[in-house]
Amino acid sequence: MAEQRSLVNSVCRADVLSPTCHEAEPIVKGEPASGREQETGRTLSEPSILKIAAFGSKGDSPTRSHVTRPEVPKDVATYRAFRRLCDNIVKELGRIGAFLIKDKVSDEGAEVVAEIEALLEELYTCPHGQGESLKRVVVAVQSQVNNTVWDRRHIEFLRDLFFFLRVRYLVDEAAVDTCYDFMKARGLDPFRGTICEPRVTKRYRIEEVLEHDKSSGTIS
Amino acid sequence: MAGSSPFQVHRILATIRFIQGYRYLDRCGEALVKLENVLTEGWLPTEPSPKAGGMKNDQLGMTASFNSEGMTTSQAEFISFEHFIDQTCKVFDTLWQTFEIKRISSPTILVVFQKGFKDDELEEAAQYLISLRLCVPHTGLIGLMEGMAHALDFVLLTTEDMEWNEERVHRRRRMQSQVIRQERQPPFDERLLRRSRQLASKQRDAIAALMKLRRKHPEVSPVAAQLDLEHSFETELSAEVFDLPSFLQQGWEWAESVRGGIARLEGETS
Repeated sequence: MAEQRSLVNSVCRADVLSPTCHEAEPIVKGEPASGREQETGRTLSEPSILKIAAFGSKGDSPTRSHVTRPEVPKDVATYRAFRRLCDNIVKELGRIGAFLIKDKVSDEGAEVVAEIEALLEELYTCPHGQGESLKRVVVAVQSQVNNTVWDRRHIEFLRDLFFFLRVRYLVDEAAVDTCYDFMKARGLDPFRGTICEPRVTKRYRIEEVLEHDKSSGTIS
Repeated sequence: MAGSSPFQVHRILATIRFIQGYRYLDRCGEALVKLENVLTEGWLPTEPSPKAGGMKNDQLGMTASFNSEGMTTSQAEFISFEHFIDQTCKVFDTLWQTFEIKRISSPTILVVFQKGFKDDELEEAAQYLISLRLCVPHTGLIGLMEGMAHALDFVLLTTEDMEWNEERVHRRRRMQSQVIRQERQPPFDERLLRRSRQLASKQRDAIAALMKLRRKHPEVSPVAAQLDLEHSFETELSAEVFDLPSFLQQGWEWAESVRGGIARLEGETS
């Protein structure tokens, strides 16, 4: 990178942004003849970029114009496919409201449900994200929406998830956790359709036992 | 369109400000570990401090820095927007989750274009910018100043309240035109001086790559006509639903279209 020299603007002189001030955009020509050390103001047209003092100087990076360019990152290409699928699911979810009757999706809504299920299948094969995280998200979603009559909870869960997921670039373990959080928040059972689903629920009760001490006549 | 422009992309920066990002002070180390694992190869953390934490990748020409106030990523000279958007989105997603940021503000992308000139061509660079007639001073003003227009730097701001991703945002666009003088400083990292066995394997690879890069002869124009194009939303937004990839892509496309438009203007004036 190049070190740019010349006039440091008045913001920097006021030490507002401190150590990175030397990075302020310079002006070579039109530099005022008189010093402006006393100025402390900011202008309306100042840049919005935030300067954070994590690096010693602007000259910390070499030129790479003649260096072999690394390959385009895998996620750039896969994100487009991922985003398209998520956008399509969100679009289908926008249509499904019309088929809600008494909080359940009517038979006429089966077309939309089938479309979303097909998109989920496609999403499962999308290679975006870290490791198997996206696959795990899709499996978690399918455990809730496959082989069931959709109701308002399913739709709200899908809306929550895909409004969140479509703008996520980094699909990792945290995305899987968030998926389960949305599931629980909408009252769905995270164990549905899994081998972990409990078949028998046992309930236990703790009772206070009162014993009568005959010798002292007190209850202990 | 942009390919015929005399202006070349010199640098890209992106900034996002955090609202209540104070957990930076508790979790900076955790964020650096996560970033090392999430980002592509070649990233080296710089020494974190209460003021800021940062990482750099000399192979990609990128830096990422963050603190309680916000985060900034930049890429210089070796410009690959695909890498920039990929790494920036990963940095953002990692940081807002690690610091549990609920709200953000003022997302910004800055694209810096330069047309290079030789060391003794300062006058030519200034005259070139004037000849583009991007900003023409009132003739009466030149009369009052007396003499000939010699240099003209300007900043132009436009703002607009608009709908973006179903949210009301205040869009601010800024263009700055100036002539600059610049000088390259070769990269230096104190890890270059350490014995390689003292470094972690990831760092060793990155430092070895930096060694090779340092041997290359730097190329940078000592004088340049420069255009800064900045696109931002001066609005508070939810971190969870903020669509950073789209924001960066739109800002980049806008900057490219301005560059192409200026190339056409140059054709008309010449």
